[in-house]
Amino acid sequence: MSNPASHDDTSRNHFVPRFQPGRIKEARFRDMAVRFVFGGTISVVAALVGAAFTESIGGIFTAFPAILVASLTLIDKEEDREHASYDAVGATLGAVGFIACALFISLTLQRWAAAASLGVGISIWLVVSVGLYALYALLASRRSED
Amino acid sequence: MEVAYYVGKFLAGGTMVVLFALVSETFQPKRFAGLFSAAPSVLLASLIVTVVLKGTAPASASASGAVAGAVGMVAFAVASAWAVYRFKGLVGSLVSLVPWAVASLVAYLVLVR
Repeated sequence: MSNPASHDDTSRNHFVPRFQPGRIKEARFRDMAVRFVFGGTISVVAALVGAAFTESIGGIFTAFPAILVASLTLIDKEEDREHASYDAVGATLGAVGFIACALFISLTLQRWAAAASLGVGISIWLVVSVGLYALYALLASRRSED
Repeated sequence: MEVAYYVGKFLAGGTMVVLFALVSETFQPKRFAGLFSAAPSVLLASLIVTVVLKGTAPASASASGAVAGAVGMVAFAVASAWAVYRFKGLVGSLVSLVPWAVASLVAYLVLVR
């Protein structure tokens, strides 16, 4: 209480994104191999479902949370449940961005050049999810100050 | 043609997922890095392969299905934030697939079909 500024810093730092490119060296080959296989397999499953039924039913599986399952399981093994639960909070916001991205692409892919539609679509995902995260961080850090 | 299509899907899907995972690794805290766990990596990879080998019409249909799938993904992520804490990683994830399936199906019937 003697130094309110430092209290503010601690509660904010909890949420402020930090870019640490050096951490990429800590990425374990096995974890990345697991994700590669998950990602590749779900892509093929989506394509097979699309071929067996319709492309739009197959499309549902391109948003199958396979990577989340892989991430949550890997985090849970290496760290703890609380961290896995934190990851799911971020994933919720990322998934809302995913809806915006897929909606945009589905509306523009046949009218725009494909590269432009996909490029703007992924940018929309980034802007919506990071924007929601900023909002979440603001509200959560305010609450922790009270 | 068909074999190339599926091999292309596998390689593109795997590569895109690893790329997003590596980006995610470089960010702290976990809550922020978690955004990348729900990145449209498989969607983008799939669409690129479909556009190149089959054209934009099937890719566009696939993207509209992905809107329904993404609604399911939100349900999955909300459920798993609780379920992973309550159970363990794998079991919590599997439990969360129930709301994923229900929400995807409802969203597909309401929004896409």
